[in-house]
Amino acid sequence: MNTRSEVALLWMAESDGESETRQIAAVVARAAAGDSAAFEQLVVRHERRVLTLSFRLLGSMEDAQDAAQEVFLRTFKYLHRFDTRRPFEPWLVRLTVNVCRDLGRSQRRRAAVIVEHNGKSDVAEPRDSSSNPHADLQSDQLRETLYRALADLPEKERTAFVLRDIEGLSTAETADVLGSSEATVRSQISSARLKLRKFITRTEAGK
Amino acid sequence: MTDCAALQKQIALYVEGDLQDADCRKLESHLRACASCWDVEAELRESQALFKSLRLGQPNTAALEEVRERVRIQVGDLQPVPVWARWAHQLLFAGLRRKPAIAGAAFAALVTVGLWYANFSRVGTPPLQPATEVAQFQVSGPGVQPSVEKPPAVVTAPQPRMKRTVPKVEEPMEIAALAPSDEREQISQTPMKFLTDDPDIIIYWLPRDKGD
Repeated sequence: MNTRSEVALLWMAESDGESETRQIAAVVARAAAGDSAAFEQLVVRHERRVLTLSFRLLGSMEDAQDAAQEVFLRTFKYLHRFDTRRPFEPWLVRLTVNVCRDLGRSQRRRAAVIVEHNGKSDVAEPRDSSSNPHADLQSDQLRETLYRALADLPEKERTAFVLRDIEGLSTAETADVLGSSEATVRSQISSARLKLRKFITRTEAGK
Repeated sequence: MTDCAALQKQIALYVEGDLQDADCRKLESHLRACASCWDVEAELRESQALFKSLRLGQPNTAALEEVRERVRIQVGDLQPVPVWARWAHQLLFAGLRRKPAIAGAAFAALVTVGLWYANFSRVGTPPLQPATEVAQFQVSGPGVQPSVEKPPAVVTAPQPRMKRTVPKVEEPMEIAALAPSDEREQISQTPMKFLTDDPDIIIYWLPRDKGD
């Protein structure tokens, strides 16, 4: 499973079906032709994915919103370059990764984590009715710790780890998005996992 | 003995099923025997489970709406890509991926320039010049009144060999003495060539030292 076409097939198989892929391709084609309603349809359909991925890569909702905005602006500008015979989502994910990389390099605000105004988190998590405020606080603290650990990773390892282990892409898909080999991705994620394990072990020992 | 530190990277791949089957079996047999590696595996599984819990987090609706609004405003200010640009792109790249297409075009351009340059330099190069100069003299007869000429620019190859018996020139010093003093200096340092009436007979004189 090394070739690009196989990876593309994998992406397509994961979506709800071939008809849906064709439907998206039609919307993309209309948006590329300047149809603003079709473009808005694309935004609504993919904004959650783009914003979530940006947040996981950057660790700050403010930065993630800037990144998502930039992703959709670039999508509007360069949609005519997209080959409608290929699946749209990998292209968008690649664009998101590139934008986050640019933004992360220019702003260097990785240390800023998910503390929001009014003490509320940016990320809404599904909570059951039995949840209590202490548990929520612990959960927020844990999430903050995890994002801080991610922020400490080198950029390439963080991106590979987020795509492979948090976004749930396969190694081949991750390599396709990053434009590198599967061997490189494996090396990056194994290194990242070991560093994160060390971070967690240290944090638990410090409690 | 297996180096446990070196196996850690493999364990990190193993916990998520990224290790190949053959390596998996080897590692599993090692894990059964090594307590410290077993601990590493357990810790890795725990930390992976923690980080995977981040999948549950989703951006809240307000954040999504804000992005949508910002995009709507900014895109409204932009002009859509003109039709000719879309057609030009489709024509140029014809379904090819952008980077390979550009790389291919750049390679073709480099090869063309290289071939053109090679052809151009072959036509324009002057003939090779020999490394040493040889003083040339005209000898009008065997041993009689050699006329001394200025050393010419056109040169023959060094280390000449005489294939025939040549008419002997007596007292080469006297011949050299006929030249003006500044030329004599030059003559004494460079090999001298004597031309005779017979075009097939050429005499070379190679002085050993200054004033020889």
